Amino acid sequence: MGCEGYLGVMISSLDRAWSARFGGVLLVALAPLIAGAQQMPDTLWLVPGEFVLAGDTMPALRWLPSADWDTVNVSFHVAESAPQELVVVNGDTVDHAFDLGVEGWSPVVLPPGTPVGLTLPALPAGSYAYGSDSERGHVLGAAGLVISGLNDLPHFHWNLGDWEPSRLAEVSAGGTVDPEAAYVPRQFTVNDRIFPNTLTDPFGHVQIGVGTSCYITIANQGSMDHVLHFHGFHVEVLQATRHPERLGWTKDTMPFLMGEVAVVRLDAFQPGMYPVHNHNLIAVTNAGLYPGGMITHLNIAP
Amino acid sequence: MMAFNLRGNMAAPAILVVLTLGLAVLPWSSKGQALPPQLYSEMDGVHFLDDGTALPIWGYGWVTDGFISLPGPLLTYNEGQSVDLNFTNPSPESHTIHLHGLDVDQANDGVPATSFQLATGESTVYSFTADHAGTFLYHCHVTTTLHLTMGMYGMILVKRPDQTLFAGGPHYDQDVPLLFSDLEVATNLDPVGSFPFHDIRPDVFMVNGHRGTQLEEEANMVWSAPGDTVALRLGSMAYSRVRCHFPPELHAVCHMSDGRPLPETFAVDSLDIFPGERFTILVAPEAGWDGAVSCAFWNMVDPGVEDVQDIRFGALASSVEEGGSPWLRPGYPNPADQWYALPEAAAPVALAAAGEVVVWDLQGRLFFRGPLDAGRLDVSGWPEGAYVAQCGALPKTRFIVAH
Repeated sequence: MGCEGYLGVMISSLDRAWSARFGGVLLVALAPLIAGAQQMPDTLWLVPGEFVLAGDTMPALRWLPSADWDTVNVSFHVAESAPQELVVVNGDTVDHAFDLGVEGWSPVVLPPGTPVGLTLPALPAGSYAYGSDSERGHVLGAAGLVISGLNDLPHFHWNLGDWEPSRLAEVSAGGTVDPEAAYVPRQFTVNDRIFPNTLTDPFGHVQIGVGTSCYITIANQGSMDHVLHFHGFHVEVLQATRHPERLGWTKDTMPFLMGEVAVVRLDAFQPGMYPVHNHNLIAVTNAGLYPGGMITHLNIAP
Repeated sequence: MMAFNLRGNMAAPAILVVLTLGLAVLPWSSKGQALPPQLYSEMDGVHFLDDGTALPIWGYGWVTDGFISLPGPLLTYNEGQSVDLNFTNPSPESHTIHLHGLDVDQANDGVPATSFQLATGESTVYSFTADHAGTFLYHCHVTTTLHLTMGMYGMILVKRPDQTLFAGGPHYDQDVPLLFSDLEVATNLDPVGSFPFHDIRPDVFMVNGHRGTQLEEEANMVWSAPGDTVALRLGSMAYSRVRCHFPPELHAVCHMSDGRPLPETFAVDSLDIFPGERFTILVAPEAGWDGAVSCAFWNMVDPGVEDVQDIRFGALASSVEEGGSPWLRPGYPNPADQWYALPEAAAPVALAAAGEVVVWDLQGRLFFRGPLDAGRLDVSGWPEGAYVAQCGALPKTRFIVAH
């Protein structure tokens, strides 16, 4: 017991004064890594592959800007309220359908290997989930985000995932999810990364200066509900697709039902490093080990 | 910095540990001046379920009490107060206090990797300003999945002297803290064997550490007089999602969440509380109403109701004393030398009707049963140690005898 991961080993034995001083130096050093917007690719590829998390090798499907395999779904920004032309190529061996979480959207069928042109509708400012509408696509993790507008502040996003390796293997082999079987996810991710690798994610690791603000899009693309707790800060809820009654609330702990996409605004009033993590505490583990899973940090430079 | 070098498992050395701790850190200086209250952490506590099962717990307690509890002591501060929370850890492992929702600075955040942790024998002070009135939580953030499951959590209330929820907010008559939590019996019985942590499946579901018939005891009910407005301070340290159902006779209105006023209040008949969330609900029970708020604990992984616990309400004939519920007040003095008094303001009618007081030692053994003498107990001949007393339907109180 008492394992704290490498960050814990590095820092836990140090006193708070050292921590505060070192924290400031670290913040300045990391400041240039502040996230930039990832623009929409001309062609979006659905690519099969494998990803490895804490010892588990799992089959996967990812939406990527090229046919080259990567473990992280692409999330991209588009201009507010402007239609977008996009070509989508299904690199999987079975049909999928491109789905977009907006009212009135009809999934567009994607036969294997055939480029399909489609038009994304004019989207009001906000964040939207896209993915494959099939169980195979969902279970294997083909899910990204379209962020419309929200250009006036730095923007970060957290695409939440939970993974049961045996379920992924079965679905990848052509099977289906047994609704009677207990779900026992072993891996929990933010942007397809586990802590502490979340701290090297330029799109997810919030790094801004004190006195400034940012938007954070949070999407639950997993197979269970999640709940995140912010250390050090409350955030204002600007969008919550499954909790519309909560718009305008100021929260430090937010639930995200399956499929929910939310946008919050963070006003960084104090410097320092503050965790944000799932408060369903099975989800701050990887393969049962703590700490891991759905943890990232807010890194606020003085 | 104090070093206690205390070790030991649960039952056998418990009294020795309590005595040693209590005598070592009695809250009085050599000049007789009261020292600030101090929390401590231990890993040798016992929590009794409604069926009498004794479960090992880790947790927090007041040094003056000399034992830990599940949940830990309720911490209450005033809005705007500069707080120095004294904390000492005589337990065999490192611990922290994370002040959940109080937006403290990094140094006081209680996360080992980004602030610090308290090793065995160390003491510290967490300093912060309670900027916002509201409902908050605290818990250990060392190997959090395990330490919370074992019981290391509690609730914090930040209040306003004018008994309003927040500046410009509604007035109310009494606070009722209601902390939801759950645990997995197998983990508490064998913490080391609880790995892997991703498959912890709670099987005990609690409100303020109680469940089932315990929640039917008068001491654990919510009492209100006609016309009273009660602030239900709901918070969750559970793995489950808790769905509370509020009967219409309560006229429940949600005013706050996570220590902040809502942009618009709303009448509430059911409410989901996820792990770590808090809500403040004002209720105005109809005169004579004695129903319950039903609380369903939903599995967050495989959706389904695991358990339902009822928070029972009772009707008092007259209003409670100023300052909130009489049912949670501690006795005094603590520690006691010659005599120990039950809370003087504790529902005089109930106190008079109760007739006798029952006292247990910390291992649950009956130590004393007999009548009160003008609301007091003569403890001058009692062995030094920690005791739990209950008088009729009043809540149990805890005290140390030290001569």
